[in-house]
Amino acid sequence: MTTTEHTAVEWPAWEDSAFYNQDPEVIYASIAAQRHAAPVYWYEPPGYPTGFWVLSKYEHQRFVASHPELFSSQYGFAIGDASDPSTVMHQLPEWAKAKILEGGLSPAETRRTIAHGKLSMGDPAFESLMISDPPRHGQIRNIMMKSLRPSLVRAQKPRIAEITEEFLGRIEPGVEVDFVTTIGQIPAALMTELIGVPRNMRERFIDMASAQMLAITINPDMDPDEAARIKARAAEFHDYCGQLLADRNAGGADGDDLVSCIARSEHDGGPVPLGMAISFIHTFVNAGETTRSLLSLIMLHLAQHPEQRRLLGERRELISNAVEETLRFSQLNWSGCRTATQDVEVGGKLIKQGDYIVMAYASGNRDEDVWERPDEYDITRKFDSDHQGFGYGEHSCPGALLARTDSVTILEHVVARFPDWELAGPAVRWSNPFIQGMGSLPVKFSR
Amino acid sequence: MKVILDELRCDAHGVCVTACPEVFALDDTDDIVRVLVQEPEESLRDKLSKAAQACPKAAIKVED
Repeated sequence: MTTTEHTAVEWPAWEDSAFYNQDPEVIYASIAAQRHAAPVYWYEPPGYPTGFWVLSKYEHQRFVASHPELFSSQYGFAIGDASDPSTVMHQLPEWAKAKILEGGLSPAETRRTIAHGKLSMGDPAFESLMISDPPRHGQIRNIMMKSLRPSLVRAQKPRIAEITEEFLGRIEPGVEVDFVTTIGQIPAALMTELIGVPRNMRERFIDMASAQMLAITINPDMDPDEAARIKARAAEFHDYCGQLLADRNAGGADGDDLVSCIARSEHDGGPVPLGMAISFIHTFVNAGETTRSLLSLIMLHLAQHPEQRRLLGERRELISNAVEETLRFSQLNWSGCRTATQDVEVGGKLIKQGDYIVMAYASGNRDEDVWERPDEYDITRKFDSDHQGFGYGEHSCPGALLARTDSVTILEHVVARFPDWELAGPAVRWSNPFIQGMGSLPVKFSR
Repeated sequence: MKVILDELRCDAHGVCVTACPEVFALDDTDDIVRVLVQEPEESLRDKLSKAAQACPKAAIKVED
C-alpha cells in the first residue's frame, strides 16, 4: 500500500481486493486521508502498466459523469480493466487475446480490449451498455428500459408484498436464520419473474447466472482450471437464455417481462442480437444480487444501531430514508471509470487525453463538502443531494427505481412482522475492487 | 426562467418532485416526470436548481 509522509494513515490500494476486505472503518479512514490531501490523485498500482487518476470529491465525480463527451465509457469501466494484460489473458476469449498479442495498442485500447473481451461472451461484434457512449448507449439502454418502465415497476408492489409474506411465513421468531439466504433471496426471485423465467427453473437459473457473473469479472488471482469451469457453466446460461428467447418469439411475446420486451424490440433495424439479450438478462439477475446485499447491509447497520432500529419501528415512514442512507454509507460498487477524450483540467490537475479516471464513489459519499457528519449512519439524514449509490448521469443504474421499490416494500413487511432483530453471529462481507456484498448475516428476529 | 426536461433521459426517479413539487409531478402510472409549469416564477429558482442538481440522470436544465 502507498504511504505518504504527510499522514500516518495508509492511502488506498485501489486495485487490491485485500484493501476492500478490511474493516470498513479502516477503509473509509484511508479513503478520507487521500481525499483530504490529494482529491485528484495520480495513482500507479504496483504491477499495472500505467497509472490512473483517482477522483475523491463528489463535485468532480458529478462533473465527469455528466460529460460523456469529455469522459468516455468505451475504454474500460472497472479498475481491473487497467491490469497488465498478461495477468488476465486466461479470462479473455481468443479474439481478444489475439488482438493484445498482435501489439501496437494504446493503453486505452488495451483496456477496451480487456473490458470488451470479458463482456463479449466470445463474440467480437458484441455491443455492451457498460462500455458505450451516447447516443449509442441510449439506444441500447432503451431496449432494456422497456421492461423497467416506472409504471411497471411501481405496479410490482403487490407482487413484492405477496412474495415477501411467503418468505416471512417460513421464519420463526427467536430462531437463528441467515438473512442472506432467506429474505435476501426475495429480490433475485422477483427478478426471475420480471425476466420471464418459469417458476420451476428459478433456482437453477440463478445458479447458472452466478457463473456468468464470475466469467465477466476480471480477477488476476483466478486459477485457470476454475476459469475454464466457470466458462462452461456460463455457456449453459447462454444456451438457456437463447431458448427462453426462442420460446417467447414462438409464443407471440406479448408480455411485459424482459424476454418478451426484447423479443418485440429492434436493434439497427433487425432483431436484438442474442449476446445483447443475454447481457440484459444477466444484468437483471445481477441486480437481484446487489439488492440482496443492500437489504442485508440495512439489516446489519440497524442491528448495530439499536436506537435507530427502534426509531424505524416507531416511524415506518423512515424506511425509504434508511434505504438511501445505507446506499450512501455503504457504497456497493466502490467506483466507476472513464477515459478522457481530450486534455481537461479537474481540480487544478491536468488530465491528459487517454488517461484513465476512477470516480471513487465511496469517497464522494463521505465528502465533508456535501454531507454533514459524513461518517455517521443516520436514517433521519436529509438528502438535498443524491448519493452516488446508483452512480450519476447516462450510466446511472437502470434498475435504481426497482431496487428502491423492492427494498422499501420488503422492509415494510419485515418490520411490520418483526419490529426487532439482533445479530446471532458474525456478519460476513465479501469484496473485490469493483463491488462488495454480504455472504452471510445470521440474525434472530423477535416480535 | 425556463425548465427543460430531457424526456429521453428521464427515468422517473422523482427526486425533482421532492425538491420542487411546484414544478414537477409524478404519479404511479407515469413513465416520465411531468413538468407542471414551463416558465416558473423567480421565487422558485433555488428549489429548481436543487431539483436539477439532484436529478440522477442529469435530465433537467434551467435556462434564463
